[in-house]
Amino acid sequence: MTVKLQLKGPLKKYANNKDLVEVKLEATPCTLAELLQQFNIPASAISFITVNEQKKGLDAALNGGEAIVMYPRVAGG
Amino acid sequence: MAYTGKVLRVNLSTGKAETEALNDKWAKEYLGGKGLSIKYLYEELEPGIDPLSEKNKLVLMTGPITGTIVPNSGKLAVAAKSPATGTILDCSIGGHFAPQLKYAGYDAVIIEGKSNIPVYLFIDDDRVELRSAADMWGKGAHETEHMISDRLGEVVTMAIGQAGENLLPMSCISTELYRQAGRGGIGAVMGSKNLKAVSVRGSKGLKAPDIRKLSAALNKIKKEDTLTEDNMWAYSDGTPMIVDLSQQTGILPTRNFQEGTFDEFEKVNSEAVKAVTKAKKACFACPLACGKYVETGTTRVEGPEYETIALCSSNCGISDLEAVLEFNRLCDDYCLDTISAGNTIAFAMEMTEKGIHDFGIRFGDVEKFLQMPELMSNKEGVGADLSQGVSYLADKYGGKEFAMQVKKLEIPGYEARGSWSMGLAYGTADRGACHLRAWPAAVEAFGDIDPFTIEGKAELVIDMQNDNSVKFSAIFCDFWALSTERMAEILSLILEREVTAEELTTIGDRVYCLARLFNEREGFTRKDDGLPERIHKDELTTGATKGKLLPKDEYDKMLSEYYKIRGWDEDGKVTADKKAALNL
Ligand code: SF4
Repeated sequence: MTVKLQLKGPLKKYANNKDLVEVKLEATPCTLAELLQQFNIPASAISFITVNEQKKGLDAALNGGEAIVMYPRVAGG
Repeated sequence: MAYTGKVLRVNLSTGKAETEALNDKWAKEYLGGKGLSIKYLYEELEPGIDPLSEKNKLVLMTGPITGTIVPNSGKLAVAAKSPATGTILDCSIGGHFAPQLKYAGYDAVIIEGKSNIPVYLFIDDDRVELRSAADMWGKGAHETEHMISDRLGEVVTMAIGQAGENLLPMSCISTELYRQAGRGGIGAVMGSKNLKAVSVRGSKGLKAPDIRKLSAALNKIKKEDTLTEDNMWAYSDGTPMIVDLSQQTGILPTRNFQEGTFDEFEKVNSEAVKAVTKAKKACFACPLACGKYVETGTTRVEGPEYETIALCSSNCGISDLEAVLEFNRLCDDYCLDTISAGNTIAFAMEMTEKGIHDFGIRFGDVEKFLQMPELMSNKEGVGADLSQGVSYLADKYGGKEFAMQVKKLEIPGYEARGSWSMGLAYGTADRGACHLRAWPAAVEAFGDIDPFTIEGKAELVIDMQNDNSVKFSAIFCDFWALSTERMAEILSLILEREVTAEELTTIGDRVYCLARLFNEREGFTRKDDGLPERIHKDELTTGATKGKLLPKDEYDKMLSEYYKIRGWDEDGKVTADKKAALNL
């Protein structure tokens, strides 16, 4: 099972500076928190994550086929 | 090290410059920057004065960390009574002016009176001079800075452009070409005093009692807390990164806040800006270097910041990045606040399209859009009306319900219908609609707090306002996401005494309440803390905020809860108990 993962801004470095990667899930269902771990992305670097355009929490389950976008933490305004 | 203990007071009417001792008691209670400048103005300004009269004062205030090796410590507070709103106004400006002022031997400069000819102020350590600016008057800030550098050599200059000379309520002050004290018409305060620029050169430095200990402690903090994943967005992308976040969460102001998403956002987002970025630039002592020099075939500018993109691109229906960059450059040179300018132009576009009044400009009209900075700054043609801001236009021509302002200050780049706490932040910001007093969108629309409820929002906004009041008083750049505890740790090192997070929170509260008292004295009450009708009545129709508004009764409840937690009465007045508790 795979998902499409898009990393925004500074998060790209966790996927060799690629915009979009196809990720094979190690097991399904797998959570967004586990996906972060797979890429060594600290949760503190994330603002929010969308799964199929919907904002989801880290415990959201993935079953394969989803489009995931991760948005970086920002500050100040 | 923390304070030089000296304030330079310059009277432009008499031409006299004198130094006096910094008020130590106030420095302890208000730190510096925002807080201390507001305290001086509260004590020294007569209530009810015309902000453009010689009775207004302009305060340039450093903070205890200014000029030290603390990261992100290069900012200066610039404060006065606001010509745009009539409220207290403090702005923050980056670059290198603040440390130079400290090295020249001053914590602050207070500029009073009015010169009868155009002048600029030159501070060269103990030598302070007013020089003629006759040949600079009528010129942009960029040329002014170059002219002064040609004459004085290596100095740091803050200047105004034509917008400030012509007393526009949306005129700003510029330094190092592309950094601004942006909001509330602070540039017009200089213009009204016939003060074209202030230049400074300092050679005295600061002395740390134990530099080895200090630099070891600060290097550790830098490693643990500055150069971290949470802050890297500032270096890699800078504020244009926020475009994608706002678009996805439906809070990107589009076509005068008629929508919260912009179909063409990818033409103006961080990726698009990065494609034309040529170099990066930092303020003094900043490892984050959020500034980007961009260059295209037709223009060159440092920017654009998110706010410029949100208000001047999506909000004006302009997706041509080159046009936005050129508009940004023109505004920087004329010294127009891009937030207020973009918001006002978008209002004129909607008024024209709705047939209420024909300003001759419609959404997406690049050619007319690019004429506006010059027309507005010089008050020519249609620009004469637009130069006065959205509230003025609505009073004169109608459209009040979609004039997007609070206390006559134009709303910045976050849609309150998709971030209810932002609505409260705008309503209760001390200088009118502002995102820098509190930016709760970061943890709400962009975080995991429900944006569409009032629960917990009053407390959230108050905590952020207090925290930011400390940040802007110390003065730390607000792009550094550091905790109150961390600020206390750094201030303990710099002030050489134990500073606790609790003490700082009290200072933040005190600063915010004093700003409120200033406004109260000018006649501001609950009735002035409301939002434009559009936010309560018009549902958004696209993206994640489709069908959303911020109901008026919910907003009113949130506001009452806010007052209660703050220790203000139902009308928004600071209570006697609260004043006593904060020693106000
Ligand atoms: S983060 Fe940006 S605005 Fe802040 S101090 Fe650094 S360069 Fe200046």
